[in-house]
Amino acid sequence: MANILAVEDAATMRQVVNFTLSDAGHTVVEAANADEALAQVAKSEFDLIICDVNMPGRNGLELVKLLRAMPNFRFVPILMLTTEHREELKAEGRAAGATGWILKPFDPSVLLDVVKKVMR
Amino acid sequence: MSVTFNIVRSRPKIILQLGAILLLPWVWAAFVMPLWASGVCAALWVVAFRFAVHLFVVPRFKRRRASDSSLTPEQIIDMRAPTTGMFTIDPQTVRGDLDSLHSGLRRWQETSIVSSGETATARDCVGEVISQTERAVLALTLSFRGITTKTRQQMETAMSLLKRSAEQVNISPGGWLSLPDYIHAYEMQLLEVVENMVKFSGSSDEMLQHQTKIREQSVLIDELLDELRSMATRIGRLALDSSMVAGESGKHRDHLIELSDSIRETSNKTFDLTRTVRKSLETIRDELVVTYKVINKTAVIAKESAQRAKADVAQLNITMIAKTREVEESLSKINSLGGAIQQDVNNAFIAMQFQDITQQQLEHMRGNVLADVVRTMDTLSVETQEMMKKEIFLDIQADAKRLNVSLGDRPRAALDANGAAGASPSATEVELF
Repeated sequence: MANILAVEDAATMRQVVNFTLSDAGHTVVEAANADEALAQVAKSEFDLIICDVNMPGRNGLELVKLLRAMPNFRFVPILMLTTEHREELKAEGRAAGATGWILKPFDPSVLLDVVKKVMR
Repeated sequence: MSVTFNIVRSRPKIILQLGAILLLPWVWAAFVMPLWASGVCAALWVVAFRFAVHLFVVPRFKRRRASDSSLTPEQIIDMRAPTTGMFTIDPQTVRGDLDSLHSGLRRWQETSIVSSGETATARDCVGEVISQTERAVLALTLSFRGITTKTRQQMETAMSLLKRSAEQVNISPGGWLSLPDYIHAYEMQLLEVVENMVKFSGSSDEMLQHQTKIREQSVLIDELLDELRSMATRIGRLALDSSMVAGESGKHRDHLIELSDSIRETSNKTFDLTRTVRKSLETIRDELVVTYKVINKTAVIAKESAQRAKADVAQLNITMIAKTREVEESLSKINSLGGAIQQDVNNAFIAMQFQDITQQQLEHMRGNVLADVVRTMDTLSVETQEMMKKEIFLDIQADAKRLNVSLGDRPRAALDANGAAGASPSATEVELF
């Protein structure tokens, strides 16, 4: 099972992501913003990062760019979990190095399928 | 006629262009033509101009005016044209109007201040709603997860009842048994009991066979005893005959009589003994008959019991199998319900995410929209306050006086037909139309 970092400013959404993944046997670490996420990645290794786009402070895309600049996280899958469906933003995410783009609200089973797929 | 005049007044460029186009064919030849021909051409130009205006310009003009209202273009022009009287309003009237405007602006300023405060309150309320909703949804999610976890545990426990343990053969005494294991063990015990009962029934039959053989042997012994008795009787008679013969003989008479008496006595004893043995045999036979009857009865009961037990076990097994199937079906239903519950959980999780989306929208409303409204209201309030300054009103009064003078002398016809000079609040803007 994977060690997953969930970066999301909304506590409810963090909780839903956490419950969905931990029920499936994954270990989930939560971060409320990009700075907390960076602090977490500095002290732990993660197999997958799930990140919101719109967050206070640094947004999700900036975080992705910072993570991709780190040698440890160059090839770690990063999924964007957001309500944003604009194509230009998706393209920006892809260019930043995001692995996938999941629209909220998400079906827990779909999230698990996507996680399984990117973890192969 | 008046329409044409109005068109000329409102669209002079178009009219000039049209006149020029009609004039061109005559102008280039005017220098070489005689005077009478030029006169005819000039007359024709006037006719052609009127015709062209009515054909091309008037319909478009009427179409455009038709969208304004049901009024005729003349009426619209009359309404839009400033009246001379408007510019001859008494300055006292202007002052009264300005006072009304001032009080209106004051009310607007007060309203905007109140609205700004209320909007700020609304902003705070939205923040509170976001916070409360988040707390409520967090609590709901936790409780919901607790329920689903416990439900899943219940379901798994129920399903484990059906799982047959791999080591069912060597189950430790007092160890945990699954439902199928328990049924299997019970079934084996019952079968063992039935087998023992059947064995007992078989032993009873065997015992009866032995008894029958004993009875046959006792009949044989009885016959032998009869034979022995008959032989003893015959020996007694022979001994008596020998005694009689010995009495007639001379020399060894006494000795032979004694011998024959002894033989007879022995024969009598043998006879008595055979009678005693017969009696004993009869007793034994009677006892055997009783025993046979009891054993036979017991064997029949045992056999019937065994058969009944076997049938009962079979029936019990059928019932237990049926019950097990019922349990299996119930647990399968529980299992399928578990799937449905999982789907409901997923749906609930999806629904809970709408809170986040709503929260984002509310945050946007609070952070941007309401903040902008507050700022706008503040700005409006400040600007209204600026507008209420006395100097501005004095300037307006001065402008109004100047306007009264400058416009009062202007002929009404000189005003633009489309202009609304009189309606404009700003006197200086009149020149733009």
